[in-house]
Amino acid sequence: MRDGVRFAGGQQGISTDTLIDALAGDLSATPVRSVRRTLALAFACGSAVSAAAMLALLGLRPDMASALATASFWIKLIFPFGLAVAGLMAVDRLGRPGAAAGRGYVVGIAVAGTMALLASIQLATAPRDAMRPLLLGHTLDHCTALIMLLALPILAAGMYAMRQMAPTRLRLAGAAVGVTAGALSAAIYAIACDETALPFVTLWYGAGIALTGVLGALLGPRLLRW
Amino acid sequence: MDVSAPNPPLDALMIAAQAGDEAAYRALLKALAATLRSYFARRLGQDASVEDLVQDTLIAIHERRATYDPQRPFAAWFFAIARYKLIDHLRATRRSATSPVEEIEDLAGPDEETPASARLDLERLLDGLPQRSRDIVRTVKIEGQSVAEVSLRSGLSPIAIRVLLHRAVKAMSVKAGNSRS
Repeated sequence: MRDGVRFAGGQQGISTDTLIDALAGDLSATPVRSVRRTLALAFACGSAVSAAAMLALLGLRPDMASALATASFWIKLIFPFGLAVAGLMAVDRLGRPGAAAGRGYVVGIAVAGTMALLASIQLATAPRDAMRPLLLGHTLDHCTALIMLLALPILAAGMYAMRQMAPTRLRLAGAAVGVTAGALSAAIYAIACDETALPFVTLWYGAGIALTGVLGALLGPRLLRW
Repeated sequence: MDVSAPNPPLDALMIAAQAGDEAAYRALLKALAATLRSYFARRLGQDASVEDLVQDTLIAIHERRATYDPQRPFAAWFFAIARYKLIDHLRATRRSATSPVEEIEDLAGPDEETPASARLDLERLLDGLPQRSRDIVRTVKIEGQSVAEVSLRSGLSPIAIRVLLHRAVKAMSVKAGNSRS
């Protein structure tokens, strides 16, 4: 069979019927869960690399043992983790043609809103001269940058997983991968960071997550085309 | 063809296809090809690239079929892919002044250029391809061997070869279009 494939012919390439036969012949059962498994695996691997880098570069926060008993330690962990869950929901939807991010937005806004509320309460009830340290902490010069740096392995793995899917809005899909990577990275960084003020965490963790989201949005149209 | 028509319900065909039912899948692809043909023709007119776009979209559907969530409407998934491929195509053709399919035919057409310069252009375009694709384009499109022969010799499945061929020709068309605009 020659399939009419001739380079200079009037008809380019193979006939559509031939292609359909070939595609049908190539069919294998497609587990619908395979998409989510790929996503979960990619973000888990990226996070593992990022966590290893955090331990190697920064180590655990010096007051780890006593910090476990404080509310701020757990809030610092739950806030980015909640955003990561929202991001993953959006990633799963935006990787499928014809689906809107839907509930991912709702969860994300709820988590960010709750965190902003807690931070405002802490700020409002603090004495006037305590406001500055609550907002600026003592690690401002590297907090946001380190969150972005630790997000890079997760961003790479997440983009790889998204490339296996079929995003049709590449900028938005890239942003969702970026926010998820930034949020997971922030949760990992929280274990190394001894800041306790919620306004600081909201602002500067939030900035790290948002900027990683922007990076994802910029990379999306370049990396995710199919 | 109306995709939302219940007879045959395409959602059911797709779900059967995801479970590995080849007959259902073949019926589905046939119906989709017809729908895509009119979808693209309505938007591009009687353009030579319509059939190419139909094939490209069918391959995309095949490769990304796991992203269809059976709990959601199939038509939304399908038309989002068709729309994405259409926009991608328009974006690519707007960059080059003429249709890439015509470019590649010009390039290889004997009455347009001397065979020697055509071959030079061809080699230049082939150079941009990965080794494996280059070999396949050479053997199938230039030497005229059949896909079955190449499949036997290379150990690749016929479908893998067809997909590689399709992509390679597309990549070459884009390159030909870009370098001329």
